[in-house]
Amino acid sequence: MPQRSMPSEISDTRSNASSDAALMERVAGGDAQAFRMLVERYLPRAHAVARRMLGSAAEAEDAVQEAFCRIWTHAAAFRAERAAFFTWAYRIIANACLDAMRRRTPAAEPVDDMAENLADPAPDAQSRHESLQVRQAVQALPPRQRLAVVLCYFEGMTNPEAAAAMDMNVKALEGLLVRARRSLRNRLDG
Amino acid sequence: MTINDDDDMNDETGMEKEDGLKAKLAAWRAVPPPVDLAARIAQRATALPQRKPWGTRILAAAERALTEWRYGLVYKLATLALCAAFGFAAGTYRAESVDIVALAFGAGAGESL
Repeated sequence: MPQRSMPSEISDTRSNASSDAALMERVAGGDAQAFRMLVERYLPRAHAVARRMLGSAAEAEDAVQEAFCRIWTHAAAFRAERAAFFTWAYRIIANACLDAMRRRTPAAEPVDDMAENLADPAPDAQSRHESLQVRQAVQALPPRQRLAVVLCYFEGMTNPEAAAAMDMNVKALEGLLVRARRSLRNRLDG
Repeated sequence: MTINDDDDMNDETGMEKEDGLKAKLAAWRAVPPPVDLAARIAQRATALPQRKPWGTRILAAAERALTEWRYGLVYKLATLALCAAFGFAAGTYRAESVDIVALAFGAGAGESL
C-alpha cells in the first residue's frame, strides 16, 4: 500500500500531543501565555490549510483568527482523553474555512491576482507556473474534496486523522479522496 | 496511509500515479503567515470571554449567590414572593370552612334569632 510522505511538522505535532493537552488545560483556566504558545505552534499549519482552502490571503487570515478565537472561547470543551489537540484544532480550522466559503457571494470568489502570484515562494518562473496549475486544480475541487486533499496530501495526515478532523467516517473520506484524485489528474495531466 | 477503494490504487501503476500526483502537488508550497499574525490573534482572542461548561457555570453562580447577598437579588426576591404565594394558597386551600350559623349558635346568639 502506498504511504503518503509526512511533512515533518505533522510528526512534531504528534510528539507534542501531551504538552498540547497540558497547555490546553492551562488555556481552559484562562492562561493567555499558554494560548500564545499554542498559537505560535499551530499558526503556520492552520494558515497553510486556510490559504489552500480559501485561496485569498485576507480570507485565510480571517478564518485562522476566527478558528483560534473559537479555540480560546471553547477551551473548556476540549477533552484530551477523547481526541488529540491537533485533531480537535484541525476540525475547528476546517469548519472555519467551510463557514467562510459558505458566506462567500459568487462575486467574492477569489481570483488569481498578482499579489497571490507574487506571494508564491516558488523559486523560478517554471516552478511558479506549476504551482499556479496545482493551485487552480485544487481550488476547482468542491469544498469537502478540497479539504480532504489539503489535510491528507499537504498536511500529511493519515486517513483516520483527517476523517476525525472532518467529522466523518474513514470510508466517506476515502470516497472523497478517490473523486478528488480523479479530478486532479484530469486537470493536471490533461 | 492506506487507500484501498481507488480502482487505480491497487497495483504498481496506481502507486506510480499516486507518487506522480504527490510530486505535482508538492509544487504548491505554503506561504508563511505574516510575522505579526500570531500576536494579533492572541491579543484578539484573549480579549474574548471564555465559555465554561454548564455544570461549572451553574455551580459558580450558586456559590456566588450564597456568598454575595446582592447577587441575583431580583431572582431571590421573586423566589421568596413565589414561595410566600404558594404557602398562602396552600394554607387557604387546606383551612377548614367555617359554618357561621353554627358558630353563632355556639356563641348563644341563636336564642335571639
